[in-house]
Amino acid sequence: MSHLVVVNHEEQHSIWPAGRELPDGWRAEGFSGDREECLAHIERVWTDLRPLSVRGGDHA
Amino acid sequence: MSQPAADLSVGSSGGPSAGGAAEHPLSHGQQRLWFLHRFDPTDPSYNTSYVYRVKGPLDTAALATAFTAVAARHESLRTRFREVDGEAVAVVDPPAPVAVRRLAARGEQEARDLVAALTNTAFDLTAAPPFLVALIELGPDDHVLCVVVHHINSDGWSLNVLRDEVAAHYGSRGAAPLPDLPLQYGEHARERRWTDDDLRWWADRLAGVPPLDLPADRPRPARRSWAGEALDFRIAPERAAGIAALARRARCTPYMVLFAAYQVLLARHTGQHDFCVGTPSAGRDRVELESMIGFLSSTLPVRCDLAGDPSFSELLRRTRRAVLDALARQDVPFERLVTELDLPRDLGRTPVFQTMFALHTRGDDSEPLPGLSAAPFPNGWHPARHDLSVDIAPAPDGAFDGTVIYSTELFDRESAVMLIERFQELLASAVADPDLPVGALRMLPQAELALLDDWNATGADLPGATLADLVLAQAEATPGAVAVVCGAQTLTYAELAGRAAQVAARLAAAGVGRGCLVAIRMERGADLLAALLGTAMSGAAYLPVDPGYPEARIAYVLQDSAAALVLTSLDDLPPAPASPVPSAPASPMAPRPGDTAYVLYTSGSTGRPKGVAVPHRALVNFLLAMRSLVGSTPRDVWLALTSLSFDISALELYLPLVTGGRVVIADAGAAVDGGAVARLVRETGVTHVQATPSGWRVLLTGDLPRVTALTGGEPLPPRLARELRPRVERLLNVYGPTETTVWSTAWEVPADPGGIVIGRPIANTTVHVVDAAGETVPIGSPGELLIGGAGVATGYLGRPALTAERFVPGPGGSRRYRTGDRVRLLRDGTLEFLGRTDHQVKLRGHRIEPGEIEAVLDACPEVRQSVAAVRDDLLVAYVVPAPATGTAPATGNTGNTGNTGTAGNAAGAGSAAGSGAPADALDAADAADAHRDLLDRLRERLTRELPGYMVPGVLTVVDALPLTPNGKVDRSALPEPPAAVRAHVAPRGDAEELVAEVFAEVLGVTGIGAFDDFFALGGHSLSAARVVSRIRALAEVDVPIRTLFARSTVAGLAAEVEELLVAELAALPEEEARRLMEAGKQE
Repeated sequence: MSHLVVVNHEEQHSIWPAGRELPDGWRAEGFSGDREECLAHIERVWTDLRPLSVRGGDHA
Repeated sequence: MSQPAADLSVGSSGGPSAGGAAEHPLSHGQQRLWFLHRFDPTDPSYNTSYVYRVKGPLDTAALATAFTAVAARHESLRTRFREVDGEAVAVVDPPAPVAVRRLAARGEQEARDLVAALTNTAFDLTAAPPFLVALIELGPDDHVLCVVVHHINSDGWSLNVLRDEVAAHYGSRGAAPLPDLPLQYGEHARERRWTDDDLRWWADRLAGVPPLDLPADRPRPARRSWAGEALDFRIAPERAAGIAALARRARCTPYMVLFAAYQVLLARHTGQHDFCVGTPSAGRDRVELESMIGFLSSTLPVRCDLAGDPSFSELLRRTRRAVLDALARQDVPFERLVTELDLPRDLGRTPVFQTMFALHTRGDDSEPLPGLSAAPFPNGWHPARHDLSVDIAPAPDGAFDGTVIYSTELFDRESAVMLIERFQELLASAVADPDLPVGALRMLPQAELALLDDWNATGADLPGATLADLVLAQAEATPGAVAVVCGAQTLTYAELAGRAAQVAARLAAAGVGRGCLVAIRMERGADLLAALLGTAMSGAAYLPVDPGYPEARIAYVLQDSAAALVLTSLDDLPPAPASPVPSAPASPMAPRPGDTAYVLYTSGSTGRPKGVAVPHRALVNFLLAMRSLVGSTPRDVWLALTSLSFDISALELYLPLVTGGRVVIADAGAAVDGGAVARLVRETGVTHVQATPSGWRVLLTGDLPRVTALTGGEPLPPRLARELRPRVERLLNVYGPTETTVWSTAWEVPADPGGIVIGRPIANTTVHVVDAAGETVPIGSPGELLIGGAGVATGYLGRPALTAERFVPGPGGSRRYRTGDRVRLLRDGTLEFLGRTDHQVKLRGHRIEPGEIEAVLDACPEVRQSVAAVRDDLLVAYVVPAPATGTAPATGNTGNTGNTGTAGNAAGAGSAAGSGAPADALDAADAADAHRDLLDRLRERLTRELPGYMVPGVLTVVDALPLTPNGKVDRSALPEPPAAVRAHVAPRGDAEELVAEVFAEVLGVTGIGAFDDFFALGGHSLSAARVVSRIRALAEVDVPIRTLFARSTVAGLAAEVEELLVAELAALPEEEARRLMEAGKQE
């Protein structure tokens, strides 16, 4: 359990070493595991890489 | 039992000799210091001294008598050295009066200068026993007493013995008894107090320890000297008390706390968690040694282990264990250990460890001269025995007094000051919270953090606009101005905007808009620019695809990106609707700043190419930042030369269009023909040109008018910078990965560039240099570069995990891109590029940066370009010779250098002949010989300038280096190196035969060839002394021992011997020289 999956206000995902202070503006997503597990989790759940603020008004 | 101090009849330890002098062999420690003395007789770094300022009536006669009496008691103070057949022996002179040198100073400063001159002057160990007593008179009752003894006969403890015995003798005028001397040094030196098991323990313990690579202000010289400076510091009493308290809690000593903090300091400056630190041990663990003067101390190489980021408490435990283990086997001589370890030869570093750490116990503060008030006086001694040494001693007020001695070849004073400040900060945070991982302890002082913040204060206004907004605004402002030139075709801004609007409308008609991706696979031209801008206006993102790329790569990119549409020409689009939709800002299809402007595929060094999605905001920020950085005006004419598949093309195409200038689009083939580019630049009035360093080499072959030049995409070699800078108006070295939008830092190359840097971050961009754990590294230390700010891309198309891995959290919910580039911040706030983290290689425990090897090769006039790489655990360098060496590339040679283009290989020779090359073209065998000569010269140079482990095992000549389509050197396409083994060549000529014979004799090896290396054959520093001695005996020529270290092959040393012989002949009268040479012929 070396890493956490973390998310910011734009719903962008990243990973962060467990036990180190997380920069402001980021929160733990809930998943934790080793580095590879965290990345595999992100590969599954982060389906739209665009920042939240630009997702609106999609082309039909 | 005691004996009167004045009794001179002390028994001598060695055998008798005619002149009353006795001789004995050297101890291991003495052998090493003797070798160092022979290696550089001017080196004062092994002087030891004590200095006091004494006030009061001084009896100078009694002082001299006291020193004489003590010297009579201790053989070490009467020992000099001489060499017999390459072996040194210690010669103990009979007792004799000690002369006190009398000097006078007008003031304290002059006294300090005099003392420093004494302590920093090397002794001649052969001339006389290296022991000096000087008395500097400042006034009638005011003197400075300065005592200097070479370490070969002394150590810190010895100085205390000397001082105390002199004090006792002086104080009692010889009446007080002095302790018995049960043993003299010579007897002790012969004793062996260690076992082979101990030696094996050390050898196992130290096997494979890498050198400590402290980040330096200057490149490490291939051969270190002792040039150093000292800097004092003080650990305040409160902090010292905290250290003592932590030591008690952790059941260790304050020394171990200080030592552990020092290890953290080193680890966090180097990124290493495995290295050695030397720490002294008195070597006086027996009662009979306590009163001896002599070199008894030893240096224990403590292997530090910071693996796994332990807590400070855990590191203390590891340190205690390592120190106690080492102390238990302290009798194994360090010099014996060095021989055992068989380390790669490296004259740039001290063996095994490169830094020392010592906590001294305060000697009792007894009076050095009873009856006078005495205070320690600065000894002014500052030669660097190592890269860095820290000496700490408890002060009377409870503080610790410290001295740092640093190599001035490596470090500036400011760097040493900062190092101490960080050490203090680390001590404070370790004492405050010893359970924190050492990597998380606070180390950077507030002032340093503030400076880093200051360098990142790049904030600038950033309008919420897109690429289309910027270009259309310009089109509105200057509709009639020329925007694009391509061949005979010219478009005004209005025409360009009109065409782009048409494209946008036709895209919309095809159902393409926001959120879509349009692959643009068009030939270079005005239509291409209209397609790019039109796509941007449509709200879609574009994916540039160079039509010249291999089909497989194009197919992969199109499939991976799932582009909605592939444009090979504007004809691919449906016709425009009757009334083209203008790019009204209110239109729902208008892109927003966060939308993707383009997707660009990059290869990276591993894995499949991936598409980087760059938003308009990032592109707009980049263009506006470059506009102010370059100082663009409407008069600027940019040359668009770069393939569209390389993101730097965005600068060439768009910057002119947002500043009202014009862009000249060059043909696809232009970039490989310097002459054609020069003509185009001249004819079209181009003012700004951007290219990679490889590209600039091509452009410089043409007669290029003076333009503003940008170079980036690969490291700028210093020599190219010096060549390019005078031929252009301005030169900007720019740096940036695709993931942070084209260029992120920039440096204006000065008229006379020294070191090359990549400068500072551009507007709204921040740079962060971090260690493996993501912590900010100190200024000057290498680390990975993270880039934050407005240029950070959205991510990798369809690659969430890869995006999450490379784009990491920053403050305020921001993201920073991990570049994978190794850099460091210099003290002026500019970044120095060091290499790719994945190019950096490790061979035999050494970290090797190929760029450093390339820098040496590129600096040779005979080399046009070079690349170093590791192939199959072998360091290989590829060299493209400069045309003037007569080994010009066989293909694509325009023959403009005036000399014969010679084929570099047999295949090339055929084509050269076929193309009507002059009849005197060398044949392939001659070319191979020419290459071999060149390679021999290059190898010599590499050997002179780089430590042995960085000299490539294989050097090979190539006609040209493979380039990627983006114009960078393609490291993955380098040819297989030729076989590493050089055929055995028997010694050629008298000198080589002589040297080979001496090597064979000294090393007990037979069949030595001309290119065999003394050290590779098993030679070491002591056998080197024998080689020099044998050559002196056989050839009557004095080869300095350092010459053997610099040129250690048979051929190399033979060349030196011949040169020395020739020089000697030249110095003789002509008549005698001729006679000698005649005599030589008859033999």
